[in-house]
Amino acid sequence: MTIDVGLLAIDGAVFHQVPAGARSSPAGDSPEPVLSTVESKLDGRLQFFLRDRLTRTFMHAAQPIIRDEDIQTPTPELVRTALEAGAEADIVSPFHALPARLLDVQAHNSPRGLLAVIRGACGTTRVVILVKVEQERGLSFDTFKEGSEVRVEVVIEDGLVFTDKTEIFKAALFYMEDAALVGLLTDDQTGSVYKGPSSLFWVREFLGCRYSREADVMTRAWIRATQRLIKSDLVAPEDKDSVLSAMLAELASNRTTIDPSRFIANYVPEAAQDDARQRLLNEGASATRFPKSREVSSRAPTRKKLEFDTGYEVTMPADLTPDLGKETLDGEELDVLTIRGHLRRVGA
Amino acid sequence: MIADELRKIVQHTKIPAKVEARAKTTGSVIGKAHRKPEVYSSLAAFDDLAGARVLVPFEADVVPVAQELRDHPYVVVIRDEIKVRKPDELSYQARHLDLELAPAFGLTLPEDFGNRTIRCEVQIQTFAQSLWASISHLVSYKRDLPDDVRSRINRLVVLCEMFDDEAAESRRLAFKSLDALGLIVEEVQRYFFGITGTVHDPEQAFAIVARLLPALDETEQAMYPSLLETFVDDYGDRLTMLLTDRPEARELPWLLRPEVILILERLTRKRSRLAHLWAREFPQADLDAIEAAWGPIHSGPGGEAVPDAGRKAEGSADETADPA
Repeated sequence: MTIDVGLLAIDGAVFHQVPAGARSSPAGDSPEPVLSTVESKLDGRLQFFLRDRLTRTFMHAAQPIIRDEDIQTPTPELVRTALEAGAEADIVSPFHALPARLLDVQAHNSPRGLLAVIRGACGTTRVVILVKVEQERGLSFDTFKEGSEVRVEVVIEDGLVFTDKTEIFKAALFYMEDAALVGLLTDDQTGSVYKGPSSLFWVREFLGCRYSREADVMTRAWIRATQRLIKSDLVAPEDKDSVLSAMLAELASNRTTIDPSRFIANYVPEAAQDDARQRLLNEGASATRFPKSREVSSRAPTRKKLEFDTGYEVTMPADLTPDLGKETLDGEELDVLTIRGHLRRVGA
Repeated sequence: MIADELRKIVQHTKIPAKVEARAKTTGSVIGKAHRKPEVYSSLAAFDDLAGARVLVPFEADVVPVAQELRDHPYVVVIRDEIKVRKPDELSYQARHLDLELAPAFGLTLPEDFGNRTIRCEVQIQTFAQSLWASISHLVSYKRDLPDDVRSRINRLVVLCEMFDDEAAESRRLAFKSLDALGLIVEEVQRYFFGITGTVHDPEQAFAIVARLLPALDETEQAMYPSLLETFVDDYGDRLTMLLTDRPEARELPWLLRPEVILILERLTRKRSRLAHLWAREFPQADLDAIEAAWGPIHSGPGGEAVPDAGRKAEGSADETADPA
């Protein structure tokens, strides 16, 4: 990430209604978008509401993307033109092609929502943000017609507070870096993009981009950071065992993504959670959800070794968490390891 | 009367002391005069007509109270004795002052005193020392006690000493945090004023920062000015934007208060510690909203990782081995 999203300021926005489904829907009803012909009357409340929802979204899931020249879609050139035009860029009519493009590429079961085109800046860097907000994500909108003008507006409901539902799950923030179009992307289907082309519509077919960091690089960085945490920051062997088991289970699971922040919250002892975040930073690992590399995960250890101060070592499956305790026998304190279950087979 | 005058003196020390005084009983005066008529021919001859005790919360309060008495213009100190308990005997600890109170001290003296002074013995003790003295007096005064009883009373001495030690340590720690509190409030207000040009009620700031203080460990509290300085250096642009660009439009009152700087610093550097504390102290939705307004902190300005202040040394090289 080479941009400070915390400095995001929104200058203008246009909202277009995108109907449910896709243009190629088998139902054959050919839904059409409702296009705004003017920018939103963005008041301060809406401006900050959108801005804070976006920053919150990028806080939890954001991965760098770059232009993929192999993909034919109008989005990159429209965005580039707007960015080069600076603060007064026209983000209304030139972008009318985008809702139609989205309808062309999105899945047949996509819900009704809004496509927002937003112009703004992060500090001195101009940005254009494209957002798809699904209606059920806790957002309302209305369409106003005044003469020939059509304006789709977001309505903020009173008393709306930040919850998980107020995150926006499909957003892309673009800016120019050394004359190249780059950006940050968040997508709740991030993990699926590595599964097959059918779910690539947002990042590839619509935005015309690809992730600039490969899944295996991100997965390795996360493993390194977690290992360092286990070896250097956690003191109690029980904590080390617990986090190691959780890490290996995470790698072995069927989930297609890893969410480092959630992992820390769920498995790292409270006193070491800030250390864990710092380890991610130090290792250049992503703090937000990223696609898990199956190749890297498949090579993760499946067994672990417990060493006792008496010199004994016990090797066991990595996902097994034994009960560790202490007992006194003839005045001598012993470590006791309890493994539940009945003996089934003995092997050498 | 003596008690009232002593209270006025002790009040100058700002120590919440308790003053007790008693006059020698009439029977005791008559008995003494009867036994030694050649010495005690008039009231003025009695040098122990009055006795007083000043009870203070902490051992460290004894010295300033004694000094205040010694420094009083109408008090002459005849004797100043520090009674310290010997390890092998049952006795009370106190500071004893034999004072001469001049007529100008405010006392109404009998006519036959003329211009003479009145003598008064003042004991200065902690509440715990006084408690032990009272109990041991009731149990053992002028009696020979069996060893097991003496042992029990000794245990009471130890308890009282431990009480005083714990009280002193508690106060030390409390003062330490109070100092940190004052320092942090001052610092966040200074930066907030520098960014927004607005000043806020320090009492409210104290109350809120006190609740947020456990989000900093002791070392961080002690070095907070420098931590805050580097934070403001790194995130000055963000702070300026957040706190000056129509903060009222966000309907988030925290952004209008100086303490938000402390919150943002903790969110950036010790998010987990703050979040766990916040869950006990304030509404979760507030922190979510502040965090959303502050933005992602995966990377610092310019996209570089933000090094943690005071970060521990990295592990050995073999820890970087990639298990995959």
